[in-house]
Amino acid sequence: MLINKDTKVIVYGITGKQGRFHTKKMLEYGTKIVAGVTPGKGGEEVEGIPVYDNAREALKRHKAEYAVLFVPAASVKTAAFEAIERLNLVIITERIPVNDMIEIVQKAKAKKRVIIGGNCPGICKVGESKLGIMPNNIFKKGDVGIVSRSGTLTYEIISQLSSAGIGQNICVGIGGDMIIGTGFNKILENFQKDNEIKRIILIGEIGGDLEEKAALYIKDNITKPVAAYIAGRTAPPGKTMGHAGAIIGESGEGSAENKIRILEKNGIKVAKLISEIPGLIG
Amino acid sequence: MKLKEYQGKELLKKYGIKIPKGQVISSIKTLKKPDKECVVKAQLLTGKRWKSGGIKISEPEQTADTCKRMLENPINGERVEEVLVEEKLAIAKEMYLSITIDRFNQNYLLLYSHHGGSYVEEIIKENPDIIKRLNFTKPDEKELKKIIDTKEIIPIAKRLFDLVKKENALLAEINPLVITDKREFIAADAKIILDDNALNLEKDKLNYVKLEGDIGIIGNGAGLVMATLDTFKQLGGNPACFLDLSGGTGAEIMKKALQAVLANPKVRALFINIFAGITRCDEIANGIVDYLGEENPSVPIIVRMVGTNEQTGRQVLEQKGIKVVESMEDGVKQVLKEI
Repeated sequence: MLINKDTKVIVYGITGKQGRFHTKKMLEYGTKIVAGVTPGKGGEEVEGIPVYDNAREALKRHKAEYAVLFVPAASVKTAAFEAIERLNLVIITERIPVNDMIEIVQKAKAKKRVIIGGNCPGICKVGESKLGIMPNNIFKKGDVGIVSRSGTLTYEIISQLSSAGIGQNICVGIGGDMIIGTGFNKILENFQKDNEIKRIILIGEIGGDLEEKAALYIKDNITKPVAAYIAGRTAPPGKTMGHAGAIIGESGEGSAENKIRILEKNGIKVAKLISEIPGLIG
Repeated sequence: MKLKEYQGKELLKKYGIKIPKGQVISSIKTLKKPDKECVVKAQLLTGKRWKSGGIKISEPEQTADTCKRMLENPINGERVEEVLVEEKLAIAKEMYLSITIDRFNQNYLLLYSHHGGSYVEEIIKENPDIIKRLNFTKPDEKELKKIIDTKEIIPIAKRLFDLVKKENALLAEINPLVITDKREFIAADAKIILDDNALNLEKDKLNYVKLEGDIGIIGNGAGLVMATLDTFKQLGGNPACFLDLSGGTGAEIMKKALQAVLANPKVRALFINIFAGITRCDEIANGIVDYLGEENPSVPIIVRMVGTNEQTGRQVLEQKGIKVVESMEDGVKQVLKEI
């Protein structure tokens, strides 16, 4: 289980516009935010949450397992390096330089920490805790595990599942960038081990090879039913489509067709329309 | 950001990797007539230049004409803004060397082969073993020696990695890395892509990609917008564009987005798909209304709007006679009916 109702959280960048807005929403959802960190703003308070200058100060007074980062892209590496010493990370920030992410991931491996993101909407353990920015009111509690590279597309799919009466157990946004902390496979492994999760939805998009690798991993390791949706069938090769990570190579590698073909070949049903997903997983 | 060959070569030179002697010109007025046979190369971002006439061997007398023709005639739909005129190398061997990002292994990937040149991709498909691969986070001399069997190339690989790290490159490819008959090691081509996230690009630049169809599409979130395009395609429509609004977009950017999309005369209808989290529906609605106040678009506009402040946003739009729907697929179908 990645998070649950007891998971204690520190919010980095809590005094910024995004940090404040989402701290309020997370608290409304029931997340146990214990402290915030903004260098130089130690002593302040946001929504009743005490702010500290750094994690060390915060952790002297509070216990926590996760940090959620709302800091600007150029500051992520510094903040992450500090937080990784004691905490797992959910990095919401987008446009983090790839070289920085490679370093952060290496450090996390050395410290055995979990990193979700960057450029991700976070994690929501439905009805228990939310680390990130997914809208509070789209969820319905159930047994589906969702893992996705997208943000708003994930909300759309969750919304349609809820309308169809298919509830979710946990939703993990792994992020849209070229280098992310955790790919599909580790999350799928986690879902397979979690008895509360009975079925899985994988949401992918063009660029990279994570979906192709996930297809092979699912074939060998996942016994629960998996359905998928892959965005970008219409994307032309060679153009950047929003996410840094969503680029199709000129020879077609990373294309939606390729991902869909390999997923289907390995027994995963792929929806052509979002509205088909409830039917595939129901 | 993709660099053109001459820009990539300047970077290679900066990091101590040899490049051919040459000149970059954007007009034949500045061309210094070469004194021997040379290679004239159109500086395009698209590949496969040999096939499309973007690379020509030229005698000194013909060079000005060859350059002029290249500068005047687009290749593969791309205008040739610059031409690189280089010495012709006495090639003994063409190697392949590149460093790129390995997304699955979350580190750098070095690729090396004795078979460089234009057909390297086809050759790899037939015989994947001819390309040697090394994953790393920091280049290690011992590891490099295991896969790079030509000792002069090891320092070149290290310098290439230096470039990747310091310039924030996502790809640095030298193909071919030429070994001349005098055993010099020269980068005959350079393909370098820089990480946009590390560059200080204009913050307000729209994420807009123009396509061939007649349905304008704007949305918030790359995955959602791609899915919207896919849905239209699946149901028989033909997208005119992809436009992704960043989270938290305000009225000003929304207006600019409309201007960009509706400037395309091919657009016969516009669909705006908003699932608002940090984004606020009322801000989006205000941007749309501002635009309508200034322009009078003849194309039908249908908005799908759910999320933060959706009631307010909806009211603002409905007051101006804009159709607002709740369901994405319904919205797509209604747009298709309008065409």
